[in-house]
Amino acid sequence: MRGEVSTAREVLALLRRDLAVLGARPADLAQPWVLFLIVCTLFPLGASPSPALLAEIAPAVIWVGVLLTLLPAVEPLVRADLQDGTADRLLLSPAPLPLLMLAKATVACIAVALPLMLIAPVAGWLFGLPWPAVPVLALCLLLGAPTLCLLGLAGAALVVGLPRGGLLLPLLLLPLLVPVLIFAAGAVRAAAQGFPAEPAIRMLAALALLALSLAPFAAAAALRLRGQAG
Amino acid sequence: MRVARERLEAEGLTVERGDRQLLHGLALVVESGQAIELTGPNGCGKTTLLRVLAGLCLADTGSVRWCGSPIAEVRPEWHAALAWLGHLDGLKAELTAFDNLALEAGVSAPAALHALAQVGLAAAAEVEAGRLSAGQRRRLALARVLLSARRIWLLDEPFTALDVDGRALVRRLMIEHVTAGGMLVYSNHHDEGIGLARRLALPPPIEIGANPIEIGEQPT
Repeated sequence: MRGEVSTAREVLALLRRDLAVLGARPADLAQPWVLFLIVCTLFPLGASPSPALLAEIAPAVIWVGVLLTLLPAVEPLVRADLQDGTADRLLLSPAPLPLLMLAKATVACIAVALPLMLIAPVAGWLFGLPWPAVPVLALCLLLGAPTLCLLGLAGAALVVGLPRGGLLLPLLLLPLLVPVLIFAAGAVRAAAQGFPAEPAIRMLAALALLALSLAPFAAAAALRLRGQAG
Repeated sequence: MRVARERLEAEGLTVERGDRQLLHGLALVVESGQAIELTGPNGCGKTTLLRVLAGLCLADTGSVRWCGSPIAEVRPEWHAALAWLGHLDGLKAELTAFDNLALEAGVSAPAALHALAQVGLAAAAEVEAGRLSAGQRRRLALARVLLSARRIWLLDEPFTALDVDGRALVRRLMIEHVTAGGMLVYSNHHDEGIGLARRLALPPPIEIGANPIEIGEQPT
């Protein structure tokens, strides 16, 4: 019982500390969604501005935008901990490490994924997605963005700071991210064309559960390896 | 009520780093009210030994036991008893000195202020840790060790970056901790340690292939 109380306290302390660190640098928080808005603005400028074409490519553009802006924003959360010695202190916490990693993924969700979840449906509407596809897009973001945070965290814990780690991270994560992209963009496209989106959404939910159950353990194992080397 | 005498023991520790062997079967015992000072040339494995004792690194041979059980089996208890100060301070540069302490688990604001005063940083409470000098950051990291109220301190080069006053302060805090029944293992390459610590000189690394030599204390 006492152990559970102290575990809860450690996890809460990590959440408070990481959120306070992010709150101290509000400009960094704005970076992912500003980048996302830029991606969404440049596509119509580069492609033809025909409404039919934009509605057609909207699911792909939005999801690629989410992928490309979210992962580089998750990586610094891990990088900072490895550089300032906080990683060692996480390893030496009496609380179970996978639980602490889950808390860290929660921080990433709040700081990075949540703003994108709010903006992306608006972007979809601006792209002229038909109405039934917009709530589907929001639902897919609700499932897909936390999945990306969890995967990004585990990947970053493994390779960040290694020589050429910056190159390794996208290569490592790519095969894991592709299913999320396929099913999330697929669900939105299906809804836009009047087909049922439910099968793709269910697959996305399955991927989210898989990431939720495995990624914290993968991140914890990766961090232990880093401790062994450092 | 269980009255287990608290005791950290290590035996037969050997760590291989590439083609060099460190520690060479080292053994040590720390009990309540005891301190060990690790000395030796750079690169002889002081930091590695501390990381192995903490459970951050695995040794290639040998075992570390806390109150008789291997630390891997009693990890939550061991880490709940342990305060760590590595060569990185583990401070968040964006947070103020006060927040770095007060956002720790189970630390109240008055306790954080008291700890800041103890290490001579009361005036810098609202300064971001990133803007403190290296010596001030070291003091802040020590304040966190103090606040943790853990029984055993593992400190890697606690005197690094500190001025004369700072080193005297750290010596005083370490002596207070040990005389109050705490345990302490620290590495040191300065001349002045604390008198009540037993000194354990680590030998230089050897190329693998040479005969390993037994050093350190044998378990009692």
